Amino acid sequence: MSTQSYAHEVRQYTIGFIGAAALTILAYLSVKLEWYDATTTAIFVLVLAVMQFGVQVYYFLHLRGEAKPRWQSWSFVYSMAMMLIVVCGSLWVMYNLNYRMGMSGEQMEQRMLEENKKGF
Amino acid sequence: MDWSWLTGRLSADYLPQDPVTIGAAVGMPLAILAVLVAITYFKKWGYIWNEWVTTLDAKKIGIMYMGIALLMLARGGADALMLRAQTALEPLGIELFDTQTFQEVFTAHGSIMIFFVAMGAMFGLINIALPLLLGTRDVAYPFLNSVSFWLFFAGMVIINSSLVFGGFSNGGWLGYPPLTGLEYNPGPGVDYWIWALQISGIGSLLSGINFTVTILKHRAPGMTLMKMPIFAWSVLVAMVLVMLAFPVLTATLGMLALDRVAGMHFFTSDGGGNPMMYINLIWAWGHPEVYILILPAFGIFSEVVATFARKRLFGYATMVAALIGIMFLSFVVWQHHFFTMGAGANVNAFFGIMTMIIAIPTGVKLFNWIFTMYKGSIRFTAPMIWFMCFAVTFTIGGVSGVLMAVPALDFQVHNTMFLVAHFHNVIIGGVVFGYFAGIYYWWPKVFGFTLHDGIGKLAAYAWQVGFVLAFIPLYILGLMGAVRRLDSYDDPTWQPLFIVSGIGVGVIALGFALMVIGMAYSVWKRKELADTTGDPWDGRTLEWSVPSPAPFYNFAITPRVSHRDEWWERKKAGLKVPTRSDYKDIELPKNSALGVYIAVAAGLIGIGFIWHIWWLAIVALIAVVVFVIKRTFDDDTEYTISADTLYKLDKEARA
Repeated sequence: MSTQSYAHEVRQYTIGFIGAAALTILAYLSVKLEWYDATTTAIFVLVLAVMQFGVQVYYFLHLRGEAKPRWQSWSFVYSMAMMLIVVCGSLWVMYNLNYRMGMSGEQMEQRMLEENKKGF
Repeated sequence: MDWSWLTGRLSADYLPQDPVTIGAAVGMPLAILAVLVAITYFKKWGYIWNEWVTTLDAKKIGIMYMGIALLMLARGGADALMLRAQTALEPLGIELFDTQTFQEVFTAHGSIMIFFVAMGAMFGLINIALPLLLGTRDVAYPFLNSVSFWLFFAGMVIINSSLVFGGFSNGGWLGYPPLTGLEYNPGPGVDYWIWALQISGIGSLLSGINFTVTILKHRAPGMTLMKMPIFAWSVLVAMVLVMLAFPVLTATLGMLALDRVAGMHFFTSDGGGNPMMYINLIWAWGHPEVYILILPAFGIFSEVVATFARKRLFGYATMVAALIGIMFLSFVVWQHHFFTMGAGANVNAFFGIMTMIIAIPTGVKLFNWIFTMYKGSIRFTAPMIWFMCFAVTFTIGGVSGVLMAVPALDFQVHNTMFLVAHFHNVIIGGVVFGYFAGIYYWWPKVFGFTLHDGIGKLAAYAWQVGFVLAFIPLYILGLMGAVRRLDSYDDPTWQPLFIVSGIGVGVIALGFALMVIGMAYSVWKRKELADTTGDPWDGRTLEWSVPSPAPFYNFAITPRVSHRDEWWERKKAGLKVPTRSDYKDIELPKNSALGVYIAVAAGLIGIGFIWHIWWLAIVALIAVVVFVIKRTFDDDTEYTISADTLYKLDKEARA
């Protein structure tokens, strides 16, 4: 590895490290010092988490400028897609199940009466 | 002084109580002892340790996988015989087992057949065939390969030792909570099941990474992805599924383990957990898993059909497209395993339609094989007979699967014998027949002599007839409402069908016996059946270009590939005899015992968790870390074979 590319590597890792650390500290402070109300804080932390994810992928996993055939990028995209399917699919299935199976007897009876009124 | 921390919850209460289990619990250790005594008597310990236990040669690891898989097939098959004997004889008043034992037996049957027979045979055949088909000397990470195998072995030992001490899980092969939760199953049976699957599951994940990298990075020069044999494609897709699906299994079983040992409440209704989440997650792994098992079998059939029809495979590109389609679709169908759990019409309809769609790429493959056979000059050898049996059986199973993809119909047959018949139809007809075809097809490449073809065909016919007898009655029973996993049924009119099914399992057992007899007979007659050419089937792909048995270095000269059916094209163009200058020095991995040590330590972690011996789990965990670090600092992992030696070895092998 040439000296120049080595220096480049070090700079990239340093930027990545500072970025990741800053995002973490920011999330911590926003909760600790109560900058916003609860809902806004949750959204703020989520946004920071997504940015954190981007920093990690970009600076540490090197998913850029990869030479063809770009296996890492493709496998990353595919894993993300499958993960989204499993996570979103599970949420969808579970909300549906909880909604329909989590009711008390009276609630279920009430709901069935309402549905029956609508007809088919 | 309280010494209970030393032995956890081990106590004599967990020794087997009923006669059947006691018989097995005494017989199994005695058999193992006999083997150990025999090894000592014949002074074979050095040979076993140096040539097998510490080997990093993919072919030998593959043979060990196959050996374990066949052994476990005998065990799981014995379980199946017991199950069907019970349901056939129970109405006559002959009670073989009590309900608890019956539950343990069907759990053992399912778990062992999937995790230790199907997975073992799959990794075995991949290890044996994949590097040879790709024209490479070894897998990408030979040491990781050894770790994978020994983790699989450790899982196998754990799940089998539960029979002797502590009892098997009674939760079914997927162990649904709340039944497998602490409240209903406080004993160690479920823990045995969890840790056997965790340890062998980690091994599978490592294998998945290993084979993916092998295919992407270690192909022979000139072999582009679209010039790979279809078997390699099917393995690539299956291994990608392994890498994505097995972490889900590990996490799910991990949460169940935390529920059981750490007082957590992921899957218990009290405390805010949700057992439905377990079922959702385990099937998010479970459905890709069935495709993980079947895809390599499809790959084997692609090679077998093209070879024995003496035609190039019909529709190579559509085959690849179908595989990649399955790679995506197999992740969007899992909810069809629990249509009846209470999800709404939208959810059920989505997953039902997706399930119907995934039948299309599978159908594409079947038509491709049929068109490959069309106008070919087919030789009906044993592997081809397995294919013919597969084509019929698997299609029936697939169609019954599409039928059950209709949620409205699934409400009728869910959890009945119909479902049992369906998945045995695709797993026996697809996975098992596929791997058996692979065994008969690649056997000469591994051992240097072919298996006796006549006995092989007889075995295939016995399996096929036995299959029909055993499972068609179950379809009928299921439609009439026979619930699965029961040891006793009230309706006496069902008994004739159960008796037919029991006879069918007996015929399947005969088929298995014929396979073993055929192997023994072929070993005895190995001189007559010897494969001197290295190419007994007039093959098409690179594994047939090397002598049989394949030498430990696979290829003396790294092949240069320019065709899909490279070996076939070379034979047509006329083979050249290599000269001395074609040979180069090669590097091969040295043997290493660390894979075994890591697996032993991993097994002890499992034992520690099962029996609540926490110090053991901690010490073993530290040991695993130490062994891994030791390996990473080991720079001297390869040895060189000089071109001269290689030239001499190759000349001898080809003589």
